[in-house]
Amino acid sequence: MMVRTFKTAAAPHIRHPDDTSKIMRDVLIALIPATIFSGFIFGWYAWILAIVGAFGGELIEYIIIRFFRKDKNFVPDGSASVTGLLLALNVSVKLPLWAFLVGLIFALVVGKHVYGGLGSNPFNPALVGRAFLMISFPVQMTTWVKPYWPKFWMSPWDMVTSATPLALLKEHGFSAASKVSTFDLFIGNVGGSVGEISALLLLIGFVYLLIKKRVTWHIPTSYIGTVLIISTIFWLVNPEKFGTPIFHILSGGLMLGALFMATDMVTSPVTPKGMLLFGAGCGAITMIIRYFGGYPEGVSFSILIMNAFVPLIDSLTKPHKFGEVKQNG
Amino acid sequence: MGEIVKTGLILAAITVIIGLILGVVYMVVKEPIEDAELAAKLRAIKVVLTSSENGKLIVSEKQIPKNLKDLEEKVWKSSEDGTLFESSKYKAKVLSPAYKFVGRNGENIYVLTGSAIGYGGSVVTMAAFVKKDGEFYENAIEVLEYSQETPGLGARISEKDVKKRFYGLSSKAFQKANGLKVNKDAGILPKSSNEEIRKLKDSGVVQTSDVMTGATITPRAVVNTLNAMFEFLNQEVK
Amino acid sequence: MANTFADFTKGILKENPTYVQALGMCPTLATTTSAINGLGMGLATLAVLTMSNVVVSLVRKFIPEKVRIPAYIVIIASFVTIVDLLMHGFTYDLWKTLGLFIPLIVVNCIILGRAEAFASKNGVFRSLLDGLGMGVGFTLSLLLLGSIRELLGNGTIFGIKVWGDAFKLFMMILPPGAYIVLGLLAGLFNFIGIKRKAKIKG
Repeated sequence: MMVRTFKTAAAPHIRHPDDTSKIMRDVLIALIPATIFSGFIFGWYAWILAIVGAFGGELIEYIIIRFFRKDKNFVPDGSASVTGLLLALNVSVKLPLWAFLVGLIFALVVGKHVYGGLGSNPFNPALVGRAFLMISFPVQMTTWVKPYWPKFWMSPWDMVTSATPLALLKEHGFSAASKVSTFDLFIGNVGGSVGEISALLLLIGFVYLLIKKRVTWHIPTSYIGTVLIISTIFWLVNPEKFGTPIFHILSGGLMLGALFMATDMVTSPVTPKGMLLFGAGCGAITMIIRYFGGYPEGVSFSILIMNAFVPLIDSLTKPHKFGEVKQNG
Repeated sequence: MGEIVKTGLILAAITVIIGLILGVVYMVVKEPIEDAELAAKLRAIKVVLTSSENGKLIVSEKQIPKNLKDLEEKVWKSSEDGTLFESSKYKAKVLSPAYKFVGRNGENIYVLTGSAIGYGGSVVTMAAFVKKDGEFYENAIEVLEYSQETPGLGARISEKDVKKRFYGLSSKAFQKANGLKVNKDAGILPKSSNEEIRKLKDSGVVQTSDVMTGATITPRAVVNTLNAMFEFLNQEVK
Repeated sequence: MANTFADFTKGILKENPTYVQALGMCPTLATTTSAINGLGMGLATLAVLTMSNVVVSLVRKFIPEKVRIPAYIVIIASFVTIVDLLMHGFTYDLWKTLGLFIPLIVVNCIILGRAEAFASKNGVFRSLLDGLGMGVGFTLSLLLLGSIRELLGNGTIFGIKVWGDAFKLFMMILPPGAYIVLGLLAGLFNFIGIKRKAKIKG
């Protein structure tokens, strides 16, 4: 028989009404505008992906915890829903549902639970799933469709494919890519992954999280700031080849990545200084991949790479205790 | 001192004995290895001399070499150092020897071997070119060596579906400014119908990105080898 | 007799070279893109391992302590060369596919590891059994890993269509697939080991 002992921590005993499920609920709310909008651009299948992601993620997590961990007290905390929804927002609408489910299972099993579940995973599970899908289904994941505002009744099989602005930039230069106006990029009337397109709605969601104090401004600011600086330098060197800074900030998955993926609490540094460093690293790697890499877009890979550096950043930026004397100083 | 000498002598004895054993084994397997290499080469020649359109041999059955002697009779050009031609433009080589056959209608058919650097080392390709109406028509290829290519990626170059994409290339395909290209380098998304793939071929683009997803470097080595061969033939055959 | 039999069987599950001892990772990860490659590599290693174990055990009394490692390496390298030559001559197609990896058997740490840890201390017969057991364990591990990766990555096993194009996870035949499947299998084998120990303890 197990004897349960109750250990009491030292005072003070502060109770706070916030818990994981409340945070996750706010993240889900923040993503709703972008999700709803995606259906009007890419057809109803985008909503199916989002719903399957959010509910399927929770179901898969329940199965893992109940049958592999043999833990009977499963209380859904919403973190798997966030992973599932983020994964859905990060795939092309041409991805078949079964492939999406395989990616979701991979994200939760290999990206999260083999490390010990929420709080122990070094990499953002949704990005692990996306990287997996990107490598396993390169054709489906990089076939993009033209935007069809506001025809939400369109099915993905009837849609005409088109290249994303970033792919156009990579293959044909900026004069081809700039056919998409900055305004369209800002509101999201472009091709791309399901939920990455509308910078405006993602920003609205992020502001909601800021007001609710679920995130801080550090990572997105340093991430987007770094992209701005690097793209300005390259733009001055060769505007036709490298494109304008505003184009780089608004296109691709940068907004979704910087606002919602890089800021994941488990896989980002804890100190403000560390967060700034983390965001700068993400921004630099993103731009290196966009300019010189094989893929046109580098947001998800850059965040994954920086995730691996988080323990190092945390130990480098550990705040000193008051009165601590620097050793060997 | 004495112990060092003793240790050295024992080590020397071991190496000598093992050297002798290796020598014997080498002598025993020398012939089978040569036979296997020759058989592989003869098989490849037969493949490239099979028409990519109707699956029949483009030369008479008699012409197909069956042993080393037959093969040596067909040598058209050879060189001492093993290389016949080196293309600086495509960074590919044509290897010695080159063979020449006579087709069913009396046309000349050149069977060349060439190599270019792939992902991990040389990719060696054999191809047959038919001279028809003063122009060269590439009939079929066989990839002889690709052992350094990534299994499941570049190594899929040896699969039939992939090799077929390199079959039947007219001289038009080679006469573009930068020669023959794979579709990924040409910036062309994969097409799905055979008709369109055929059309791409005539415009100098070989589509491989659908049958060997993710691999670019290995098919690029093959097209560059073919480009070098075309350059070589135009220079040598007037 | 039970003891000698255990020399053979321990390599298969309890001291499985790949999943429990984590030896010979380079060929394990690199060659297991398909079942046939895994099997071929495993069998080649089995042959070299058995022969080198026997020879090292035979000459163990003549080799001075100080030069034993160079001597073992010479013995192992020559057996690898013999296997390479034989495969080149008689199994030409397999030799082509495995290409680079055959010479790499020399640096496969299982072989030197068994020579050093077992064959140099035990008799010829037991060393033979140990080499066979470890080789079979290694072959089975590679075959299992290769089959899983081929099945998930290409929909086939030994080139025979199982579900074919219907379900292909391309990543599985790439290096990340090797690491992930290897990690999951190592976890499974250790789990089995823990369960068995718990059972013996009762």
